[in-house]
Amino acid sequence: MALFETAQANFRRRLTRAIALPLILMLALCGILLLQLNHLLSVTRWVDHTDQVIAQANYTQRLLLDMESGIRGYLVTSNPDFLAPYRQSSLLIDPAFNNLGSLISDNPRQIQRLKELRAIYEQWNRYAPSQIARKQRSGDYQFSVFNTRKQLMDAMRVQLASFIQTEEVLRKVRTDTAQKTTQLTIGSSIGLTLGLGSLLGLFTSRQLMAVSKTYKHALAIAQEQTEALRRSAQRLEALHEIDRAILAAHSPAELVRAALSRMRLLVPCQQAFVVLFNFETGVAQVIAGSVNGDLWFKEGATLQIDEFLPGFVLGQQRSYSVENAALNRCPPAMKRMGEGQSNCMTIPLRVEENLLGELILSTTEPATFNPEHQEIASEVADQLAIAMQQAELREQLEQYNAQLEQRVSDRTVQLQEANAELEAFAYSVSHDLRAPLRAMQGFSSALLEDYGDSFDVIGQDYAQRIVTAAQRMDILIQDLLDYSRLSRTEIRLQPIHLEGVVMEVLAQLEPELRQKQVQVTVEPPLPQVVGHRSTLIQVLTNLLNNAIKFIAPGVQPQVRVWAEVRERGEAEEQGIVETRAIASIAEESESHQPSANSQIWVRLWIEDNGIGIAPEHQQRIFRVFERLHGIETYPGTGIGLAIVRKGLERMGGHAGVESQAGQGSSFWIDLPKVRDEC
Amino acid sequence: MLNMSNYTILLVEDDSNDIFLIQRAFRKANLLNPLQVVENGEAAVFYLEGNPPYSDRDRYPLPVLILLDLRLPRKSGLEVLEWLRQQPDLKRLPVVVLSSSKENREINRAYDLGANSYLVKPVAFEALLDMVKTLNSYWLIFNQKPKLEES
Repeated sequence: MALFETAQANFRRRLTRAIALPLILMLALCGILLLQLNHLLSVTRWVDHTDQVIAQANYTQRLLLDMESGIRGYLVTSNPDFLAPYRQSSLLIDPAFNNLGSLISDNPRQIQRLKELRAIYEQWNRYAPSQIARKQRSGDYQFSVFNTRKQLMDAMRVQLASFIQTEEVLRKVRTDTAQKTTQLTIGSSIGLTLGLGSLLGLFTSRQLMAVSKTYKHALAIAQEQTEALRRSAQRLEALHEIDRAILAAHSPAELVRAALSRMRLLVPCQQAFVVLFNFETGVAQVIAGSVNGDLWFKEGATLQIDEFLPGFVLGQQRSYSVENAALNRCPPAMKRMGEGQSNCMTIPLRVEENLLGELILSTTEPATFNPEHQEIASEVADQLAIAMQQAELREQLEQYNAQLEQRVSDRTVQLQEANAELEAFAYSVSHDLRAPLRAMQGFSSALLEDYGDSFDVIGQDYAQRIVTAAQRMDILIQDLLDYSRLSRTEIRLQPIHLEGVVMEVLAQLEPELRQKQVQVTVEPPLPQVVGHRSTLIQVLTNLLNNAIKFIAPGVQPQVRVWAEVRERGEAEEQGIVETRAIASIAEESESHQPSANSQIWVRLWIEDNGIGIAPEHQQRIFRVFERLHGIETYPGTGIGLAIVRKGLERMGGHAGVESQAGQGSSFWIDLPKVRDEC
Repeated sequence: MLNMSNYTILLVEDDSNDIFLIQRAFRKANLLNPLQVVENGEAAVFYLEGNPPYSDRDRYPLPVLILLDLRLPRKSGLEVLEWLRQQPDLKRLPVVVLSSSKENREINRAYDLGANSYLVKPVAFEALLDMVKTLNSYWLIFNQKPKLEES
């Protein structure tokens, strides 16, 4: 930029000089020519002046002659007509003399001569009137006077002749001078013009030469810069193409081949290949290359690292930071292969100071590689290094993924095994644990029956306790099996008539309801929901059982069942216990459920007038084995509500409770509403 | 009384406690049917085939009802059931499975193999007694017995 500015300033200065100086010189030339012309004019004016003087003298002489000849004619002929020229001329003669006098006022010699002439004329003219008068009077004339006049006339003639002669000499001199001056003026003008012209030409040409030189220089620089720009653009384009090739490549070898074949269009060489170093094993591996003919080393060939990095010692911890791209550095491996490949360029492949390997270019042409080639190769090497690193990372990632997948499938197998074991366990629990229970129960009953009489009250109580304990354990095992079965059984969701299910559960509980004199109110309508029938029955049985179980002594149990339809958002705003829907269950039920954001839910309430649950306990009661009361007060296994929660979980619903201690409880379950057919 | 040997019940059960309790329940229920007991699946097959030591049909008559436990040594109850249904002369014998398991898988499998009924052994003796009484009235009194030999 600065270069261009100086060139421009220079250019302008020179151009100004080339125009201004010729202008000044031309003006000077004009001045000189004007002066000369002026001189020439004044010289010619003097010649004219002399001509005027001569003409005036001749005129004066003619007047004098007219006067003389007039008088002579009259005197000879006595004819007064002859006097006419005399009279006319005598009127003109004085002005003529005066005029002549004024014309020669600068020449004292001529003035003197004119004075003399005028004196002679005065003398000559003095005789004229008297002679004319005498002739008129007497008709004759005095010959002597006549003669005198002739002599005077001659004298005047001589005077005039010499006057004219003098003037003519003067005119000749002046004419000569004028001629000379003209010649001089012409000569000097031509000379000056020529001189100045050539001077100007020389100067202008020099200035123009200088300008054109500056211009040429600037142009050369601009051309150079344009060329550099073009090359840089070309290089950028090529590098982009290499980038694209690298991105499209699937294996390191492929990307090396793609990049190097394009690089060789910019950097002329016969061989270009990439080796990667493994510093742990000391092995250098040829990845791939781009060549005319055969590659020196086969793709995948392995060599010792010191074939490329002289001085490498395996196990020696030091960083091999090869100096930047080295022109004319042939690795030992290449030298060993010989073949007169004299020119090499070695460029390190580096990612953040870690040397991955080298890019090696070679050619038999002498002095092929220049700094620009080095620069291009370095850029390609940098890109290759990153790409190789990425390829390696990708490979690692894929390996890691494969490992993860393997691990997942291993885990799945383990889980399936564990699940199978769990099932086997449940099976064995139901079989094997029950057998001794039956024995305990059966034999203690038998004991009471057959030998009851020989027991005292305490003995009978003991035996009775064995019976009760065995029964409780049976229920416990049964509940546990129910709970575990809930997690394991396959659940297929379908539309269910809530009312029918509620009625069925109530019918099952009929004996207990009657025994406890429970007042049950079911408030229709109970809409259709999406769920799993037997699971829902299990859930409702547990909830209704709880509703009639946890009652203060002496209170008639009252249970109210009703339903409400609500949006999902409301359900989740409740700050009360809820179960989380399992995603897979939600997916299973997809065919029966509207999409999640337009989910309509049915909330079924089971409200009792029991002892209620303090808010701080409302979270706990849904967990397995959580009990708030002693076995003696309210018997149970602590699994009922866990079954409720698990059952809702499996059906993609929610469960919760609203209660205050001593004010009854309202348990609720949320299940998706069946979409109205429309 | 009719020849009660025609109303023999075969109990296939390995648990001596259960055997004792079932026999007791039969006594308590005043059932007079002879109750033959074999303690494993293989023995059950031998008994039904009339192989030694059960070749004496007077002593070990063919039962009118089999009470079959599922978990048995040597041959499981299901295996016995499967075998039984393939025997031309025995395949119609009513079989009531008497198991501790409520697992659906077990229940369904038993029915698939041709069980006529599936009962879960109750823990309470009273319940067992009820069950035996019901069993008697249903299977031995009301139920029409099939003809075993192929006609």
